[in-house]
Amino acid sequence: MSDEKLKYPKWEAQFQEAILEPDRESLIEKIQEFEAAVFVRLQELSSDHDHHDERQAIADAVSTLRVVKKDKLSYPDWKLNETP
Amino acid sequence: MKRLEIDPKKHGVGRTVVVVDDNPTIRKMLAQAFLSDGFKICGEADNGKEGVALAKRIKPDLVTLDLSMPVMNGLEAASELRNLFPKTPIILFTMYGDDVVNDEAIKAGVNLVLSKTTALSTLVDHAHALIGR
Repeated sequence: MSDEKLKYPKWEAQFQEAILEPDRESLIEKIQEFEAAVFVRLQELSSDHDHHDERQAIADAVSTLRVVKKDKLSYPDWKLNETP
Repeated sequence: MKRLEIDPKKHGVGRTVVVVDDNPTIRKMLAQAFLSDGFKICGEADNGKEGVALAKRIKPDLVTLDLSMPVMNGLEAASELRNLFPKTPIILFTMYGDDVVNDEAIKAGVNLVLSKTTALSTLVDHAHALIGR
């Protein structure tokens, strides 16, 4: 996938590769690559109060992968936003 | 005899910290931030269970925890650590910070929840503030 077509080239390709990865071991690697890329990007944005759209896109991507980690990798969840 | 030069700008001299995060890249960046500030030991673990075991061995001055980790997440680890070390500051450093996580974290014994949008230098500053209490 060409980075030129991505709105957020610093992390979006890693996200798409992660959510499309069927193999469990490769999925762990892809998620780690995505999270590392996002962390580096968040550190870049830490002194910048703009980029609201990108911050929201990151939050959405992170939430999506939280579900993937829980369902496909059996990560323990923390019952966030669950209703009784 | 070689004299040990201590940089007064490195506030973490002599301190120990355990960094718990399942992502090796993020863990290394956190460890480097603490070591650059003069922390003596930065123990690293990649899940909450290993983090608790490591903390038992080195009895750190501070622990930072990721939230989403395999085997044992950050809230579960915080609860165990708080029972073992009632006075050791615990920082939850997470991509999932919001009011719900904050409330659960405080219940688990976390002293401070910081988003991973927080600059690493600010994380280290908060660590000093908590250790210095």
